[in-house]
Amino acid sequence: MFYKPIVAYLAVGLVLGSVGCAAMVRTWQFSSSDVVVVPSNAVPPEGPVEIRLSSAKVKQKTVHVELVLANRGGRPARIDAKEFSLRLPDGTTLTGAAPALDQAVKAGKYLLSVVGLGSKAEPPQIAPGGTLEIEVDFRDNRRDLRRYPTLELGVDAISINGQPCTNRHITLAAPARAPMGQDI
Amino acid sequence: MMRSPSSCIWLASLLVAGCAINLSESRTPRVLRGGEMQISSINSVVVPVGSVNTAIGAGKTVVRNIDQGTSPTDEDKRQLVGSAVAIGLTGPGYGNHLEFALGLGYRLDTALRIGNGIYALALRRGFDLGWWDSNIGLRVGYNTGESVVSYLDSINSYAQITETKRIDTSLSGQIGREFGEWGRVWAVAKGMYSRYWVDVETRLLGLGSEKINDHLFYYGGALGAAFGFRYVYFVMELGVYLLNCKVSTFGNSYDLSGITITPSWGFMGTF
Repeated sequence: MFYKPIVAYLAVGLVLGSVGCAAMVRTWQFSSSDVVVVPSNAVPPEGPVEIRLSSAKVKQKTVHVELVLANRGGRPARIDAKEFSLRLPDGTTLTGAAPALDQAVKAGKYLLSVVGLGSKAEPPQIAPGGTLEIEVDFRDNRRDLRRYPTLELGVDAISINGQPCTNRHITLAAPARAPMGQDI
Repeated sequence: MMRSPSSCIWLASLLVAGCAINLSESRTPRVLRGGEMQISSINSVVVPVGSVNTAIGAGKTVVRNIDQGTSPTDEDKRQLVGSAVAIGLTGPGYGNHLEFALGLGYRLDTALRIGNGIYALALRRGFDLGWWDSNIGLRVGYNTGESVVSYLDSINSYAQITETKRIDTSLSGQIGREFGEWGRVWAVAKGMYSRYWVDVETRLLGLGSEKINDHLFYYGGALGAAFGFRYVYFVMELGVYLLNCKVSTFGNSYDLSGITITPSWGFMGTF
C-alpha cells in the first residue's frame, strides 16, 4: 500500500528525534538561577519584588519565556510591563511580545471598554506575599535560537511601583546536552 | 463504448507519464533545521516540445486512421507502439505528489516523495550564504509503473503496457532567499538520469511483445517562488529541461531529444 513508506519514514524520524539525536530535538528547556530584586536595596514593608525565570522553552525560531514576580514586601506592588528584549551572544537584540492569545484578549477588552461594555485595563498589582506570572514570546526567522549557549533576557521592560528595572537581565542557559552552533 | 486498442495505448501512455514528479523540485532553498518538518502537495505538468511532439503527432495520426476504420499497415502499427512507449516515458503528463521532509540537523534534510506510483528519497546539504540560502541535493526515485489511482491501472491493462520500472537519479544545486515570513524565491540547476525497463505487450495488434531497457537524461533548471505566511505557503515553479533520449523498439529508432517544460504548483506547510 502506498501509505506504508510514509508511516515508515515518519516512524524513523520520530525515533531519531526522540532517542539520542540531539540535533533533532525541537524544543529545549533553558534554565536560570538568576533572581532580579527590585528595588535592590528595599526592605519590607516597601519591597522588594523578586523576578525569577519560571520556564524558557526555546524552539528553532521562537523563545517562550515565563517569569514569576513575587512580592516580598508588605504592601501591594503595581507592575507595568513594556517591551522585553532578548539579547543573543552575537549582539542581536530581539523584541518580545505577549503571546498572541493574550494580545487578542487584551485587544478585545480594550474594544469593549471603548464601547462602554467594560472597564479600562489597569496595571496589575501583586498583593503582599503574592505572585504574578508574565509570559513573553520572541521570534527570529533567520537564526536557530536553540543553538546559542546563553540568551540574555532584559527585564528593563518591568517597572515596579513606577521604578524601572534599568540594566537588569536574566541569563538563560541551554542544557548541557544541547548541541551548539548555527551549523547544526 | 469500447475503445480501440490503439486509442487505449495512446491514452494510457499519456496518463502514466511519471517523470513530471521527479523533474519538479518545489522545495524552499533553506535546508530544514533539525526536527523541523515540511509537508507539501505539489501538482506538476510535463509539456514536451520538439521531437517528442513529432512522435506524438505520428501516433495520433495512426490512432485517427484506425478509429476511422482504416486498416493499419505493419509500419503504422510499429510506429504507433513505438511512439506510445515513447510518450509513456517522455511525453506529456500530469502528476501530483506528496512530500514529507524532515530536518536532520547539521544542515541536512531528507524527504520522502510519493505520487503516481513513484517513491523517491532525497537528501540535501545546505550552505549559509548570509541572506542567501543554498543547497546541493540528491534524489533517487523508483517508479513502479503503477498508479495509486485504480482506474489508471485498469486502463493500463487494456493498453497492455505490462510493466514499467524506472529509477530516476537527480543531482541538483539550489540557491534562493527568504523574505521575512511571507516569501521565498529560488533557482535550481538540475540533472536527472533515468534508467527504465518497459515491457510492451501488443498481442491485440499482433506484434508480439518487447522489453525495452534503456536510459534518458534531463538537464536544465527551474525558477520558483512561494508566498504565504509563517507556516503555510503557496508554491509555484517553472522548470525548463533539455531531454536527451533515444529509443529503439520494434525495429524503429526514435530520437526524442528536445525541450521539456514543467510547471508545478501546490501548497507547502513547514512546522
